Amino acid sequence: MKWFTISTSRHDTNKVVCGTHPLGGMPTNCRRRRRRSATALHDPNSGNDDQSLEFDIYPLSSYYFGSKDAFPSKYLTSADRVLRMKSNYAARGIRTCVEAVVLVELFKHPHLLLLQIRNSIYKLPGGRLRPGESDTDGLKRKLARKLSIIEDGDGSEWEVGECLEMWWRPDFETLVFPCLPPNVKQTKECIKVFLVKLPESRKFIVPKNMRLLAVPLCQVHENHKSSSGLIRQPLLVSILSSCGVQTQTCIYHIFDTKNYTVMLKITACIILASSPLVVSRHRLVCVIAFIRKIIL
Amino acid sequence: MVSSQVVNTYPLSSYTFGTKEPKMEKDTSVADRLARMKVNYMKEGMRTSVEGILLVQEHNHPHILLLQIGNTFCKLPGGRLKPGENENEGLKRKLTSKLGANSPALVPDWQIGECVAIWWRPNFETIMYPYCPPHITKPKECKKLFLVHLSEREYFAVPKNLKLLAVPLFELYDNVQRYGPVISTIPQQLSRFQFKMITN
Repeated sequence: MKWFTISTSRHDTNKVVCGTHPLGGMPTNCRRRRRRSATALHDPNSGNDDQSLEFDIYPLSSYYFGSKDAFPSKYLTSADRVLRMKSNYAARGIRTCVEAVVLVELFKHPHLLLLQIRNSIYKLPGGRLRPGESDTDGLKRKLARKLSIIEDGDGSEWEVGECLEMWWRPDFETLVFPCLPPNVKQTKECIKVFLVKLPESRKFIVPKNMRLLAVPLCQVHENHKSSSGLIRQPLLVSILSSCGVQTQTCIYHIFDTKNYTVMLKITACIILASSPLVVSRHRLVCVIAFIRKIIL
Repeated sequence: MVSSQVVNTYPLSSYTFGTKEPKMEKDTSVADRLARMKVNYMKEGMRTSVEGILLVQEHNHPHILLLQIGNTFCKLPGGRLKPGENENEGLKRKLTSKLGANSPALVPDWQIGECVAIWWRPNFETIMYPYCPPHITKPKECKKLFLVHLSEREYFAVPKNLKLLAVPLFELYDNVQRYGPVISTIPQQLSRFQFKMITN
C-alpha cells in the first residue's frame, strides 16, 4: 500500500495502525501536461451560493485587440533552457514565475486568454520575477509588457486578484507538480497563477509573433480529449468559415457536446449569432445538412 | 501583496480513531444511483452536494482523509444537501454523520473553510466537469468541495463498513484512474494554500 491505512481492530477500538511511509515519494502516472481549471467561478444556475465567489466576466466584443512590434523571441531548445535555468539558479537561487488567468465571456461561457507562440506552444501571459520583486508588481509589469501598448509602463491599470494555483519544479526538467514531494530538498522553480480582473473594456496590444486566443474552459479541461475531435475539425472550420463565422473559438463547443441534437442547435445559433454577413436560408440549410451528414 | 492562505496541519498521531455502526450505501450499483438521482431531480430540482477536504500531515507532507468503500472506491466525506439547507450546516451535518461519534460530546467542532472547487454534472451520467458546459441550461448536480480546518486533537468514529485512509497529495496527483477526476485534481486546487506543518 502506498498510503496510510487507518483501521481499528474489533478489540482495540482506540488503536491506530499506520503503514510505512512510501519510499521515494514520486507521484505515479506523471505527465508533462499541466491541467488548469477555473474552479471558483460563479454560475447563475447554481441554487445555493453561500460561499461562491462572484467574478464578473465581460463579453469578448467589449475588448479591442491590436498588434505591436514583434518580441525578440528566445528560441531555446529544451537543452538550452535547462542550461539557462541551471546558470540562473546558480546565480540567483530559486526562480519565481507569475502567470495570469484572464477570462472573457463568449456564448455565455468563460474563455481563457492564452498566448500562442509558434503554432504549438500555449502560455498564460506572465513571466519571471526579478529578484526582490513582489508577485503583484511583477505580474503587472509582465502584463504591461506583453499585452499593453506601453511596454515600459508600470502596469498600474491591471488589477491582480487572488492566487489560484502554485506549481513547483523539483528539478531542471520540464515536470512541475502542484505539491512538493517529500524527498525534494531544494526546489528549482515556483510558478504562481493569479486571477486577473478585467474592466468592462480594455485594449489588448499583442506582439506580432504571438497570437492571443480565447479558449473556452471546456477545451482547457481534459485537453487530451480534443485529439479525437481533430479529425473533424478542418471540415467544420471550412464550413463555418464560408458563413463568415470566426471559427477560432466557437469550434470547440461543437466537439465537446455529446448530444447531437443540441450540437446542431448550437451550430445554428453560432452561425446566426456570430456571422457579420447576412446568412441566407438556403446556405443555412445546406450547412446544417452537411454537418448532419458528417456527424450522423 | 497577495498572500496565500495558511492552513494548519497536525500530525496524524494527534487524532484518535474509533468505530461505530455500519452506514450502508443507498444504492448497490451505478445505474441505481443514477436512477435515484433522476427520481430526486423530478421532485426537488438540481441536487447540491458538499464534500469536505480534511488534511493531516505525516513526514512533513499533507495527506487527505478519504473514505474507502470496499477495496477500490474512495470518496470524500460529505453528501447531498437537503432542499433549502445551508452549505456550511449541511456539510457539518454530513461530516458528523460520516465521521462523528454517537456521543454528542465527542463530535468535532467542524470549522468549514473556503470553497476550493465546484463541479457540475450535465446529465444523469457519471461524468462531471469543473465548469457548467455552455449548452447545458439545467445541470443535474452541483458539487462543492470545501476545506475543513481541523483542530489539534479530534476523535473520529468511522463506520464499520468503511475505511479511513490518509492519502498523500503526490499519490492523488494525476491519478485519475484510481481516484477519479474530482479527487485527483485536489492537489492542484490546494496548491494555492500554504500548509503549516505542526509537530508535537
